[in-house]
Amino acid sequence: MAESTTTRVEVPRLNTNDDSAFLIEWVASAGQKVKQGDVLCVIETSKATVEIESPASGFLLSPVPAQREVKVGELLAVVSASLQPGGSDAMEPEAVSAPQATGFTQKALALVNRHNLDKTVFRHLALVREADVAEYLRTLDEKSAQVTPLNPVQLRAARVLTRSKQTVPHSYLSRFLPADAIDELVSGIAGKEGAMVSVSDWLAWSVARELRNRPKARATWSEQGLVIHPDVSLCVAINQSDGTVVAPVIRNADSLDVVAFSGAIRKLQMKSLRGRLEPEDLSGGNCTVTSLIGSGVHQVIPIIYPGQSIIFGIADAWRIGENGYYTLTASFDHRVLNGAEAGEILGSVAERMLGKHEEHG
Amino acid sequence: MSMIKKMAEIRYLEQTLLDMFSSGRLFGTTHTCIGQEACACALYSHLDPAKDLIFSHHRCHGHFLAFGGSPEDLLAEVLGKQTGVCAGRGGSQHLCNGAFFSQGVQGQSFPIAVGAAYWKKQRREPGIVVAHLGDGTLGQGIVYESLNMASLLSVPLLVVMENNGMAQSTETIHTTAGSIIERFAAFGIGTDRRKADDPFELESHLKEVVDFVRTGRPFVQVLDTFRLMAHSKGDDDRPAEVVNCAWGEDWLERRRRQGDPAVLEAFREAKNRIDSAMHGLESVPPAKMGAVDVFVPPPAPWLSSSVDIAARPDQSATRVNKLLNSALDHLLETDDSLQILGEDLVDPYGGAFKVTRGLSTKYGDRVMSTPISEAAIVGFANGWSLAGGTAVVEIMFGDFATLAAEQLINQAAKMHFMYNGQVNLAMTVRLVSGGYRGYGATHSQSLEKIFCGIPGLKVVALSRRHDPVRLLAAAVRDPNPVIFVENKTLYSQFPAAEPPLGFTFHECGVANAGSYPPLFYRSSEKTRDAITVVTYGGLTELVETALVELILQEEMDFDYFVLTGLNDRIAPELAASVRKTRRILVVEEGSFPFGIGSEIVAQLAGTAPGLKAARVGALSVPIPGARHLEEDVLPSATRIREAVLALAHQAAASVS
Repeated sequence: MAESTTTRVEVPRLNTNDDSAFLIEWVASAGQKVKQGDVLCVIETSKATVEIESPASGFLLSPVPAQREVKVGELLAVVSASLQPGGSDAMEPEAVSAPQATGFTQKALALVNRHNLDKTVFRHLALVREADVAEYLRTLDEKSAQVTPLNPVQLRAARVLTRSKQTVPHSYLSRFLPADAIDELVSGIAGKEGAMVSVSDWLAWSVARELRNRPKARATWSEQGLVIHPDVSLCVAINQSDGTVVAPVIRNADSLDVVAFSGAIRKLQMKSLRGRLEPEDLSGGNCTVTSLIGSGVHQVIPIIYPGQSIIFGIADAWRIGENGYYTLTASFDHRVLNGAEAGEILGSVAERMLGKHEEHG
Repeated sequence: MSMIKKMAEIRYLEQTLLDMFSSGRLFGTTHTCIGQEACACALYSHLDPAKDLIFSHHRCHGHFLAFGGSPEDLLAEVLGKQTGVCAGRGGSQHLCNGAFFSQGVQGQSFPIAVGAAYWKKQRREPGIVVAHLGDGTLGQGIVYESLNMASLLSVPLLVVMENNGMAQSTETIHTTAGSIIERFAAFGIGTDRRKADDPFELESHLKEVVDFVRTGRPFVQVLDTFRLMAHSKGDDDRPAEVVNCAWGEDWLERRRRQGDPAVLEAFREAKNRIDSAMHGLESVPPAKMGAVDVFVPPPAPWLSSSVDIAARPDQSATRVNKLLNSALDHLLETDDSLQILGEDLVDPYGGAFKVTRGLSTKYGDRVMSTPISEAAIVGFANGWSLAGGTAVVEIMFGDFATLAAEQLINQAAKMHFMYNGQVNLAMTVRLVSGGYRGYGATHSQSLEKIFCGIPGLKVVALSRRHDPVRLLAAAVRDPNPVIFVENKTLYSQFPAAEPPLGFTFHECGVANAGSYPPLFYRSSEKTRDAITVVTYGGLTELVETALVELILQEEMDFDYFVLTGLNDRIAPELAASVRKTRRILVVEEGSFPFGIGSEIVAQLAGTAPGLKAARVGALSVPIPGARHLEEDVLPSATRIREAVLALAHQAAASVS
């Protein structure tokens, strides 16, 4: 009978407050053979991300689409002893199909089609009437006041950030730097060289130089071991007008003098402004620097880019009386660097910014 | 009381009644047994009111008095007094005192007597049953159906036929062909025929007869006698010399004329008693209608609401006939007084629609296959329940309910009320009804509307929306006669527990004791623009198809009712719905003129001013056999849809 050959995979109640969860992704794919206890998918509640294990051994069938809200108790998929659910019991395919509304009135259907809506958003209703669709459209309108559609770049960036925060164990260290000394140093360089060099550029260049001697700061974590990248390719985060951030790369950044380096940054900023960043500008890089100077905030605690082990951030100086301080922060992958190592790197970068290392070129 | 005294009392009482009729002091009718007293008196010396049951007919006063009934009670009944045996509800022909039952349709208590006698046999209760017939009764087919069953079942039944030679005004030789005695003998029943002259000789003969019946076998005693007075009141066309000659030969009259002291004394006593009874009755108030209803309140616990009888999700994989089977199984298990009967019910056949399959194997002769005698089957069930049992009858095709209509309409429906609440009939007649099967005009009808207007009958209809188990159990446990309509298309279907698409279930209460609430589904809480749709029985699927289609295509809204008790008073929920919607469509499978819909609309019209109403039913022609013609005649989803749309386009009357 059906009960013995198929097992339902349902959304469990993970905490008392949540009647729904977000289905992040399927680890196993439709038709895949799974063993009891294998992770089938990952769902996220208001409290935690949870791996859903297979309740039985068999084939995963009829997984519902991921990246959407699912209700507690909702059928996610079934695990069937056979790959052909209809084989022994013809009723089964109906029972395992993704839940959706049973019926739409003609008026409702016309409205759904006119607005190109996903029918499954009405799956909690047995019968969908025009009023139900209109109501849904109203809620959509309310949301669209704040939400603008995402372009592929934004989407990719969002996914990257999500992945980083979910998979990389972040740790954070900060140092306060005397702002006046640094400002004086930077304006001195700019005046002497006749170039536009900002504090942000100065930080980035300092990092680039420091990375020369810090192989673990340009490493990628993997279960098999650290992958140390031979070159220093520095990413510079650029806030774009649409609110997103891109981090184009300056390859062999340590080989440039500070003027050439800041020139490279200007060039990337112009490209970004014109929407002309090319794929090669956006691929690779083994460390990142971000700056919120000019935005009025005093500290930035950045998210590490996946594949990198450290990121540096700086923001506006915080003035107490006569003295101002920049807060220099490093977020680092604690699997790659421990606190002391990261602290040492951060210290060296700070010293470089205060001109305690020799050259500018 | 001596036999002579009893005979004199009977004669004097009957004579008194005739005098009162001729002087205009009595209203109604009476049928006297003057000249036939010996038959009753000789027989009843051997009968015991504590254990024997008597089924008499219109000419019943002598039987009633001979069986120990009091002349005061009888006179009070005939005079319409409160102290009458049936408090004035019965009248001359319809007497009852718990063990004595008379009624006014020729021969129709015969199958009831057979059923009661079978109860005595099966339950091993002491006592016999007596069925009284007249010679005119031999014209009734029910006599032969009943004789057949009495013989087949070998019941302790004494049939006493008083042959007075006249069927009302027509001589027996003109109404009855062949030999009377051979008619009875043909059924393999012991018979005897003799002249009822000397009551003492007759008494000693009847002792042997009664003793024989007490051994558990049927017997027919024909007594040749003479009715000295008119059939009823002065409607006697017989030649005077014939009647006068008969008076001269009459045993009692002869002795009175001869000055027999015992006879004269008997008449003196009779005159004293009857005259003083009549005098006493002058101060007795006339009968009042009183509290006894046509129905007995059902035993607690009764249904608490429509939730109790709605189909359950766990039933959705079992076919209706199987669920009805399990209901009967459970009822047989829990009520040892339950008798099930009908045509071809016994295994291996198990009923034409297999509802009783396996039950005769499990419960033996408590599930009985009967002769093809619908009238006798239902009469038998009446008798079984009258004697104290519960009976369930299957009528293989509801069309044949016409054959049993007498037993339902004149017998079962009337007894509780007519006998002033002294009896109730816990019997259920399952009518296998409806068309869409191509069985043609005599096997496809929905005749329940015929019975809905009969006071004393409850008509209950099963549908896919009902729980067949609980609904049938409720009907069987109902202490009243219930016609249980089972549409034959239902048997192979599965109960539908989920409301139709877009509808939600709303509970209906039990408005009156013993009523069967409808199932109520609403497609929207905003009933302002809704239409009330009512149906029942086998049509739910068709109606729902039409309604759901209209919801999907037009976004119309409905208050949808599936009736349970078809002739219950209008459910308050239905009345409330119509007060809001002011539009109602009733869909029934029977022909719609003078139908269920007509009645519901008529009743609702008073409560919802400006009500717009429509009916859909079978066209008013016999149901054709050819499939496409039958489809044209019976209700279709298209016709339902058109009726709804027509109703929708009539603006509901505005309420000021």
